[in-house]
Amino acid sequence: MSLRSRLALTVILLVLPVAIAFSLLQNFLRMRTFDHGMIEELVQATERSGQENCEADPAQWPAPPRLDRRRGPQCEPGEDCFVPPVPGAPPWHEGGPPPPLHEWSRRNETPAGDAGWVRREDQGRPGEARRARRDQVHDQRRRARIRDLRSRRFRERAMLAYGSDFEPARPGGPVLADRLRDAMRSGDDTAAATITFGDQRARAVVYRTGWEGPCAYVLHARIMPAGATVLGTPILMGGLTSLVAALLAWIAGGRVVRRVKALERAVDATSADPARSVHIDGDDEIAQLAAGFERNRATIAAQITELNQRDTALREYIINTGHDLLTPLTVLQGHLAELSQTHNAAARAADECDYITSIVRNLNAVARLESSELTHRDEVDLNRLIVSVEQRHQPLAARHGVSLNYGMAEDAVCVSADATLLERAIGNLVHNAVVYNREGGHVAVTVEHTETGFLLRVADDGPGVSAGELARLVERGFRGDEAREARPAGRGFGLSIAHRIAVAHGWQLRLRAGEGGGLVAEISGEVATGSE
Amino acid sequence: MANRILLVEDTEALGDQVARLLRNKGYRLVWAKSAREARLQDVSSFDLIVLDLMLPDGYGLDLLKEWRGRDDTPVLILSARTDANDRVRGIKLGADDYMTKPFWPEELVARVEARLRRPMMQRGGNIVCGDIEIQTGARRVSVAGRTVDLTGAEYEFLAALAKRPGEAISRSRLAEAVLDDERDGLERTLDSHVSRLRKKLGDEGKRVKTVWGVGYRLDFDESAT
Repeated sequence: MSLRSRLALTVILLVLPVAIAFSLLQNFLRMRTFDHGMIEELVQATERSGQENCEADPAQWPAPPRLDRRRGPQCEPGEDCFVPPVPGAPPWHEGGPPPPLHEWSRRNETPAGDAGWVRREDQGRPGEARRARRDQVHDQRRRARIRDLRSRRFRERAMLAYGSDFEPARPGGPVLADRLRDAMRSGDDTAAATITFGDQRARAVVYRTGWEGPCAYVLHARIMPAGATVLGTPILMGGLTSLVAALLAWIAGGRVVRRVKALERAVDATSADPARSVHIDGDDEIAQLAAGFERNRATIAAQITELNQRDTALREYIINTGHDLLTPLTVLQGHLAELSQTHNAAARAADECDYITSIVRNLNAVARLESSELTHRDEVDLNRLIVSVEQRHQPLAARHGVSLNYGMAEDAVCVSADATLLERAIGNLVHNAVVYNREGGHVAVTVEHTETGFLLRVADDGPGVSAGELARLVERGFRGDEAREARPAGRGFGLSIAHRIAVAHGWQLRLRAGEGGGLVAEISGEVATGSE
Repeated sequence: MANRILLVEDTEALGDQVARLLRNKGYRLVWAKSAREARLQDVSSFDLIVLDLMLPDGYGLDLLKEWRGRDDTPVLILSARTDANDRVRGIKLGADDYMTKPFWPEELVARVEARLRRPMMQRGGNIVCGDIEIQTGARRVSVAGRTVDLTGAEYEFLAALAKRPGEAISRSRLAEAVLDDERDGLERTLDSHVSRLRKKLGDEGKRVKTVWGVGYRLDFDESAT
């Protein structure tokens, strides 16, 4: 999952419950305020009517609607009238069913006064006291209307009286919910609950009047619109809020993600070029992370530089020491050559000298292979090179009683190579072929063009190696059993070096048993462009 | 007359050894121990120069560059340096051979002889090998002045060897040069040609050497017979 998606999801998970909780709290506070308002109106209605009035006609409490004076189908707009919901049925205050509240409420042009179903407007009654009371009621209703406007869910309302036995004084009135009854029984003065009224849901408050009898409790109910629930709105609000927050987080996360990607690119670049610094503008955590990377990179780069310097110094030491040894070795070989004419032991010393020489040369070759100096290549004629190798090893072959010969291709065989390393590779093959041969044996070095390039072959008729040993011969330090017998003190890592040199040039070194015994080493590869 | 060789080598022990070795082989040797001493010599009067690269007062390749501007005396480079740059530069500047140290005296002698031998083998368009003289224009071969009657295949075989003095030539190359595919067919026919050729050349026939793993070679060494 991408960083931005994760961020957006996290925001949703965090914001959703918080938004729901906030919305629930808001709902609760609004409901409480609303309940207090309803109770206040209920108390006022109770005080207005008084115990006697109520008990005289509890079914009509808080006051009988005047509309019973002028009821009927001839009602005109603006008149106090009530059309029964069912044509022909008696009005509700005469024992008929209570009208649907929306019907009643729609006719809000009709003053209800203190009617059981409270109207929105009261057209007033004559007289000063009544006017003052009307003003007071107007004021209260105006505030109630404002609350209503704030909560359009509760448009319709009713007030009803209940007896001590919790039975509605008005026939067909809604039964008090258990929760409200329980609250009253437990001694509370007021209680609020959401109740059902027919097929409608209403918010209801109950007030204990303190009058025993048919007006012991009064109820004030307001209808909630269909579908409105206490939980629905908070979930909707919470969902919307968290979606918006997630969207904003997604957009805001873009910059962070771009900076993280810039950091990733900067760190990646150091793998190709360790000297390249890691830097991200700014002073935030990503910039600090980049600074941390940069400190580590600088440390590692310094260590690499130090290691490279040590490595270079060591290689140069090996190469220079090797060079320094070469002239004294030449002089030593010269003396040994002179001595060997008169002293048999000198021939053995010459062998050891040859061996030391081959070690020095191979050390040099390995140091150069490790230093990747192979990037320097020139066009080398294999014809000339095998002559040079043959001449070099002729004295060695003579001492071992081995006949060493070469056969060139008719035309020059030019390859792109490091001449010194290539001479070392061929020299190692020839050296092994001579040293691990038998007296009277033969070694032949030939080079020829092939269809795909060149084939350089060093063949001998020595003891050879077993098939099992063939594959392992190019491993560093491995030598065949016959070779160990022939030269137990030696190391014989010449073949592995020859193999590495061939591979470094992109060629192949193959070892196989000769047709008439012995070992055949073949290097094959491509010739330099234009030499064919 | 003995060949004159100029040795340019600053290391006393090695120079002394090489000088003695080549003098013992009958060469007339002049030893210059520095670049300054080498510059005093008239290089054109020498048949071969053996040049060490690391000199106390100069670099051998600079000397070679100076000489190559006015003279083409063969130069054999001796070097303790193993990097490929020097070898390639030396050859490009006109060195005839490049030897890295250490080396056995025999190797140096062999290389010196190879350098000095080549110009002597051609005489007026003829190839001379011991008593054998091959007249390439007339396709005629004589041993000690006596004409030897060779077949076409035998002559081609001998001429092919003689054109690459001292080198072993592979059987496949010789078969290609000598044999007529339709008539002779197989490579082993080559052996019967060689056998007859050796007989016709008499004692000099020993110069036609079988080389294990390669093919044949015409031996130019004086001691071959």
